[in-house]
Amino acid sequence: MSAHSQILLTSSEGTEFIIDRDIADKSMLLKCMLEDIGEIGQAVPLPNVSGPILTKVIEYCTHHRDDPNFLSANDDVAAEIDEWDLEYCKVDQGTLYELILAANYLDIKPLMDLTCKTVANMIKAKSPEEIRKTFNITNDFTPEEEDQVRRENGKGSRRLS
Amino acid sequence: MIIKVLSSNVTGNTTMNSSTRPSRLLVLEPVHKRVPVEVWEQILSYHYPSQLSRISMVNKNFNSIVSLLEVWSRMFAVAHGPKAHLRPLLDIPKSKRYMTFMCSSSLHVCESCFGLTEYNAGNLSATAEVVNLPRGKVFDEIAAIKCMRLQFGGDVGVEAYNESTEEYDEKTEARIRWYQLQE
Repeated sequence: MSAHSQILLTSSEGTEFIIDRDIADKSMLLKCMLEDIGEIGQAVPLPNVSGPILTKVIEYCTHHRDDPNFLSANDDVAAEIDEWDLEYCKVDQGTLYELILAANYLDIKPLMDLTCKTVANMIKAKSPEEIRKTFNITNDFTPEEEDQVRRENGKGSRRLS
Repeated sequence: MIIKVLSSNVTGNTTMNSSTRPSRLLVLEPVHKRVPVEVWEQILSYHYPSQLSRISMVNKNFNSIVSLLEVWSRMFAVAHGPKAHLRPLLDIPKSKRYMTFMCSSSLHVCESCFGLTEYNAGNLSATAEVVNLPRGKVFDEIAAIKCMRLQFGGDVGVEAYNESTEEYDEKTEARIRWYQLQE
């Protein structure tokens, strides 16, 4: 196959994206699929990924297209997030989750690691109440259950909310 | 043909039928609920035990995700030996969760001795001494994290040393008494 072959993708709304094969290969899903069935010149439908999110994902893959450590770069979990990636993750929460879902679906591990790390950093150093506020989660414990959970966590009297 | 290939790869998202209108889904359902459990597990792998225990107090869903993480049983095995069994704890309802045991029996002194309990500490006086000193002055924080990662595996406490400024404001003596284990 030629190095310059291009792949046509269709987002959930039906928007078409033309990307280079080497960028598509960053996604294990697309890579395996293209290897299995070859390029048949038809658009690949991605019903789980919306246009704006696909744009973001392609932006990420394009930025890292020549990165030789693309798949191994994030093996060290304690590694610092590089600046471009940090900037890339400065999106609203909804977009961040959509990116996680897209990375999970398309099987792009480095993007998955990056977005998960970003969410982890958002949760870090927050009390349960602050986490609920950040993610708009309702507390569904009854007071008795909450008390029990606190005791189970050995934090009966610690600052919690 | 392609459609078939793709749809078999769809993740376990139950709302797939309406995926053509994702923006509407966002309104109907909080996004965090659409994130599959495996993904949460990866996110939580960047946290260290006391953060995890805090996250488990958010709601029932998080509580079950956190308490089922494999890391707790691994920590238990490291702290108490591979052949140890869970024991009932004073004041704590019987539970088969490793997390419950590790958290409620932990002295919560620092991450490096998260697994250190009266049950396995052996030398109680030495433990008490550690507990009475203000946290952060006893241990070199980064060394403590390193030690913990060494003990419990690479995915615990990744960023923990950034957290080390958090103060443990409560006296721990009362807690130690409270964590007395039944034999």
